[in-house]
Amino acid sequence: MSQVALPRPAPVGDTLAMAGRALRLMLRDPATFVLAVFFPLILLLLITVSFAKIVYPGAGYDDYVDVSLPLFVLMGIAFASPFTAAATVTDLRDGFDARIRTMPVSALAPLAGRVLADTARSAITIAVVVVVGVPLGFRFTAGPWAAIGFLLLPLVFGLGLGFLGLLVAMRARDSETVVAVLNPLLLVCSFLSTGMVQRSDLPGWVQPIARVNPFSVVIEAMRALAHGGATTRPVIEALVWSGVLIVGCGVLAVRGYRTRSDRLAA
Amino acid sequence: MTAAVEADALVKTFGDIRALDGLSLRVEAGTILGLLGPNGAGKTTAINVLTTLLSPDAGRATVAGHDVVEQPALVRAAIGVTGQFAALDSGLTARENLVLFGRLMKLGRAEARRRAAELLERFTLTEAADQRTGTLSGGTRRRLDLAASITREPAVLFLDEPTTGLDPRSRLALWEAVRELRASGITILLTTQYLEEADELADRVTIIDRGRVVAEGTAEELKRRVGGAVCHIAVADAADRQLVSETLGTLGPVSVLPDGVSLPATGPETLVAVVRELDEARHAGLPIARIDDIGLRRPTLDDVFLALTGHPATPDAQADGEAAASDEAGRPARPTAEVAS
Repeated sequence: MSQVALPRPAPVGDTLAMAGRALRLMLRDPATFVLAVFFPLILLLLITVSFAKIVYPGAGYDDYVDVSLPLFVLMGIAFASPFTAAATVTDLRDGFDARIRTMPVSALAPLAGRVLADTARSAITIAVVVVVGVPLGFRFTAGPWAAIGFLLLPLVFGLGLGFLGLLVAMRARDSETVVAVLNPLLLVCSFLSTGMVQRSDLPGWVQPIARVNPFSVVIEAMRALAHGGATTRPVIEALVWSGVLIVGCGVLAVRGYRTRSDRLAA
Repeated sequence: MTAAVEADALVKTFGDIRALDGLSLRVEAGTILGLLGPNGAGKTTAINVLTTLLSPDAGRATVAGHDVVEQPALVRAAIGVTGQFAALDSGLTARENLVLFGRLMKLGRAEARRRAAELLERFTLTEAADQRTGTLSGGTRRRLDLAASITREPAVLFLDEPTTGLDPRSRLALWEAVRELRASGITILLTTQYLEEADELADRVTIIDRGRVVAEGTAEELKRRVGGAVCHIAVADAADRQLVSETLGTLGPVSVLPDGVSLPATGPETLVAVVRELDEARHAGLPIARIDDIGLRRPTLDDVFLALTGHPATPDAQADGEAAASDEAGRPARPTAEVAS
């Protein structure tokens, strides 16, 4: 019998291998790429240019882009996340995960790899939207540290959204269900927020929703980080929301992942 | 000899179903054990327990010397698994799949790439190397799946119905690959519902039914348990079978089977006697039965299964008497779900 040495556990290496695989598939899958890159750009260009006059009478879209850009960053990140969740369900259902579980691979590497790949994709979205936003008139006026915070905050919040998606995925029967559940929720969060207009300009019944909507919270923190003003409180609020999503959904998603993969083996 | 796989009184229940009901088996190092049984016999559940995917409710098992419950990490490091469905990433190419599995088996980047190239060559997958796995044919995917399960040479390889649903040519190619793996010293436990496959590949065969072992031995031993050679007269029509059995009644105990009539044979002389008997009946002007074939045959594992369990191994043999006479090649892919999850 050939002797097999026990490979040293390598959770980081395993996660990187799984993330590399997920990224490769993402770059190959036009749907994900379109959602992560072109979708936010189209929103940025169309909505900024056409809504500017309504929201800021007398001002140009170069002023409005300072208001609207954070929402489109978030939407780009948010609407690509159901694809990750759906792919995770597919892996569970077609036996790919089961195979991984018969290998000396860290138990959480499949999920961690997905989340890591998701974060890389979010970074691409942030970079692309900001790079296109600058010629439209988007400016950072609160200093370099705040600008770095502006770029990192949606990354952290995106992590929370990623775990939310995974949590839904663990409860969903198949990948279509995941997308069908998440998309309406993300649409509500996107539009019943202060992302495009001031809260006072929203209809009365929407205002309380927009106030507690985590999208509004993160968007307002991003605006403060880009253009100054009271920064501490919105940023803390945004981080709290992100933390709640990451820890809450993360723990439940991991637990759901374990029970689900056990059940599928039965 | 040492056992590479040893299972002792494994029990696993799902609700009311006892998928494993005290299953014990043993695979000697360097050999192939065929785990044979119909759908729902508990084959996949047994594999899932032995590969650490499921914990048994009772009983214990060791694989490559490690307890599957106590030392799952050591077991996982020592095994390769090819499931019923080619569990590959359909979006990645064949090569990328192999590199990914190699890296997950801790081969290191460069070594994983080198090993992938070597396996593509060895399993004649070079043409498919840079195509996405989703576009490959079933047979090619299974070969790739097999290659993926040995990126790091395992001590024990589990193959769960490796050829279910494959066309005859792909099946032969996969059999060849399995034989080569055995020749390289890998212990193999393969499940199958094809009796021919166990006969072809396995050194020893364990027949299970409803979660327990009904027989164990080499294919030859099992056939001997059923008895010696028989003379088989293939007759399609039921009335004709009756007619033939009456005609041959003088030669010995005749059994009427779903696909014909058979009687114990001592050798070629039995064949001669049968032909003479049938010919004399014709000359005597008795009604003539339509006979498709007459021959001597050693008992098949189908006979063994029928004798041991009282029901045929193959569902279609049960449903349709003609099936036993039809060839393996024409057999359609069957649903492969083992136990409802």
